[in-house]
Amino acid sequence: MDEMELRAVERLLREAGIRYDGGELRGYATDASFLTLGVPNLVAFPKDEAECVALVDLAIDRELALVPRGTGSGTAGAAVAPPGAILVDMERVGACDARGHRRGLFSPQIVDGTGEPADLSKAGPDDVLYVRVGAGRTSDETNRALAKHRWTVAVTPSSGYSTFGGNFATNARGSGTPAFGPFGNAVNRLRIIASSEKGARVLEVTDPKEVRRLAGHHGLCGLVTELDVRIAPVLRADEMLCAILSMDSVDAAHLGSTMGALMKRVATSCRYYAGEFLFIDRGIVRPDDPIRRDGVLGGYFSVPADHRKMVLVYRGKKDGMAALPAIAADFPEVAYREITYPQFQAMMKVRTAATGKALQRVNVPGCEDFIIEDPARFGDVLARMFAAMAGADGRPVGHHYPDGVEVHYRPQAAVTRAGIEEAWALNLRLREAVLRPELTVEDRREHGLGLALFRDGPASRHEELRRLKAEYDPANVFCPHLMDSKLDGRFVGAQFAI
Amino acid sequence: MTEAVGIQVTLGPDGGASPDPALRVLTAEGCIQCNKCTFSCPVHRVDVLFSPRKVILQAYLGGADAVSERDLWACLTCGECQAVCPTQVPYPAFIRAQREKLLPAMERTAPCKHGGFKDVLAKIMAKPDLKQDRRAWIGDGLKVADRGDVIYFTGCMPYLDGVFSYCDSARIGKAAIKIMNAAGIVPVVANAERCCGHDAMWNGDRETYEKLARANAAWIRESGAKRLVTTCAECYSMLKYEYPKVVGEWPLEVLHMSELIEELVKAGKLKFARPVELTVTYQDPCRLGRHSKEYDAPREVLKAIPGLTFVEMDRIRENSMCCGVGAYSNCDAATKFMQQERLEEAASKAGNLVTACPHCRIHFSCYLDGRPVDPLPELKIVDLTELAAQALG
Repeated sequence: MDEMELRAVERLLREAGIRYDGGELRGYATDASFLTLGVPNLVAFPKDEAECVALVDLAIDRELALVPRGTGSGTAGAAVAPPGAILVDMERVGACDARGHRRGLFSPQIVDGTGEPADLSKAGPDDVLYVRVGAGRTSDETNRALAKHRWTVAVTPSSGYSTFGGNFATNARGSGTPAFGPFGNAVNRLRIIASSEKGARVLEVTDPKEVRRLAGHHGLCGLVTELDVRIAPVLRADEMLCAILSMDSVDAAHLGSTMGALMKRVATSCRYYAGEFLFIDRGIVRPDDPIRRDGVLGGYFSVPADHRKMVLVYRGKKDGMAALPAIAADFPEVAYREITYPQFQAMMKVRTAATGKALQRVNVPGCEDFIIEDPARFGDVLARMFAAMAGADGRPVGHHYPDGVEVHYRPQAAVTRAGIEEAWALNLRLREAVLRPELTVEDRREHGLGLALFRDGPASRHEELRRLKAEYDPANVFCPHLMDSKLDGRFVGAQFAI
Repeated sequence: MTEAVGIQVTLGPDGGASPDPALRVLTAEGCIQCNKCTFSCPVHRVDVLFSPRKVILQAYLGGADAVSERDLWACLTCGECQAVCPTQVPYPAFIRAQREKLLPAMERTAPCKHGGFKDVLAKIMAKPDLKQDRRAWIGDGLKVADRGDVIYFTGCMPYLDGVFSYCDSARIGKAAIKIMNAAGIVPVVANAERCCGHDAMWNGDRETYEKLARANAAWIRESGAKRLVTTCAECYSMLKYEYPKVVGEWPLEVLHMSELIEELVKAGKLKFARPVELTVTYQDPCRLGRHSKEYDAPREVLKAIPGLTFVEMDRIRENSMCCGVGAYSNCDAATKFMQQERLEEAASKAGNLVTACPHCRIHFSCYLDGRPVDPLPELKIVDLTELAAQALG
């Protein structure tokens, strides 16, 4: 986009009343991956569906590329746009008042499976209900609104601050996934602004199969503006079982294979809402963190010298978790303890922040979504990971889903250019060591890091994404760069002024 | 390393990597660009172009000076960003350091509202030969002393009514003395007291702040007092956490009035005999809450008052929403929308919004005294100390 074209687009956006930023845009050059394609020419901030339609019409008319960006899933899902493209920040869509101001508190509309309004105050625990929300809403805000009725968003990715549109674009998983599947499975209806050769198309997708096809579209198909998202009753304390299992060992392979075998049995014998694990090290919580002094949980934060300690927590309904104590008893090296829900929440607070928790270090994401389909290979994967990580800070964390073990790891670097570059190099070594079919490991790209979607992402998905792109975006305005299998972003850390 | 007060930062061993003082603060804990800061920022909700995440990346890529002056002054330094940050990046401390760095090059100091009166007041109070009568507002029936174990640090309160006459802030001071007298404490109210320097420090005027801190430290030390009590959340955060960094050894125990009331009630030295039949909700002031981590004492006081019905808002404690103004350096249309949202939230819970900071009270009252953006139900803004004094009978 040359200067004249840019000014023309700005004028059109002004006329359409769409907020935009065309000034200093280096702050939009990358997401949490620290990968960049350069700086976009413009960032647009539509507030509602009408503005999204206007934006897509403009893009088709002037043959511009649009790159939708939510706050993604977790910490790394914000999309990046190449120069010449318009980055479309979707976080205000459906989350603003008429003036365009985001309202942190709102009263969401509850609907049933047919889309008809439902009364949450009269709902029973077996009712299948959805919350109708704008794509810019987050589970954090929505759960606050649902709390008085003791309901919650069914699938909540670990960052409650991620937008639903981003959750859908990456088909994020998180708490609730073991019971309800990935985020896309928990969506019953959506509205998407797709393209045609003539202009924008507003589509309402209600066929569950089609909704699931679109889940994980990475912004290739259009601007999702509204979704019906599954909600579920908050479990009462007396019907819930929370448990913590831990094991430490000097042998990472043994530790991983033992815990992997345990997880495999849990997956076949238990129904649970959340299964989360973390490795404990000195830096995972600050020295003065109160959890270290907690009578029950504090002990989990001390690790014998040269040992690796893994902590695995589960939460589910008592009847679905009945087999867990017996399974744990079959693994004498694993310590099992039932904990209260507040204790589970305290551990989850540590777990949620664990990937980002570092003392005077920056996290350099790059190994976000390794799925180990066969938990029995967990030990081999861990051994390779820890060997590659030797001497590096940080720790793997992850989820235990019924279909596999998902591992996240972010190297932690001193906030210097050299430190960050070194951490990035470690990411590349880790990918080489772990992303191997014989280990049943795949990179799901759930947290975005979408630049190399067609290079590193799940191959099983590529053809379907191409078909979806052709159906929903024949004008090819949405993230066309992502279709380039050779596309590779530059690591922005080398440009830091630090 | 961060200290108990997360908002303030002392650089650790890696802090010297960059010579730029503001960038050193920013890189003491590394940003991962997760955007939680931006999503929780009250300014961003109104002005989508303002984003702490964006500012941090710009600073990483282009140095701290890449941050625009507009972004520099839009920040409320409320600390909500740091409270949600997984790596606890000290964004408010970065903004403070950058303001401090740029101050000599700026035509004026903070874009201070109300004619810059707080800026002027701080500078006047920093004069060494200042003569003040800081007791004129006290009135009859209340006992104060020239010397004693307990200082009542009034802060700017005696001066506020000259500008914000509709607030009658002196009532808060009178209530504080009434409560202390009821518990057998005759506090020192000193004419030598100066502004605590809160606004000067947060607006980057370190020179004025340090003059004020040293002047206050001199008379406080000379008084021989063991405890200092204040009804102001800003004074509290400064005297308790910032002064020791400037004035050296600081053996004084600093209490917010809510902490003293809680202590006196629990010790049986203060009894609330008169029911106060009100439904109230509570605004956590940024300086008392997120900056000083004192969330419980005000709530304990409210729970101790007979007849009072206390209802929490939805966003409380570390997730509490700011009153919209930080150090009097930003009060504009965006502020009004923030205040409207917060007051709507309060009004949906109770008829009275209690706060433990006279400045929150002023900013909210100012909004209600003007023309609200949208209609609001009847809502009164009440100071915690005043409410507690009512319960004494």
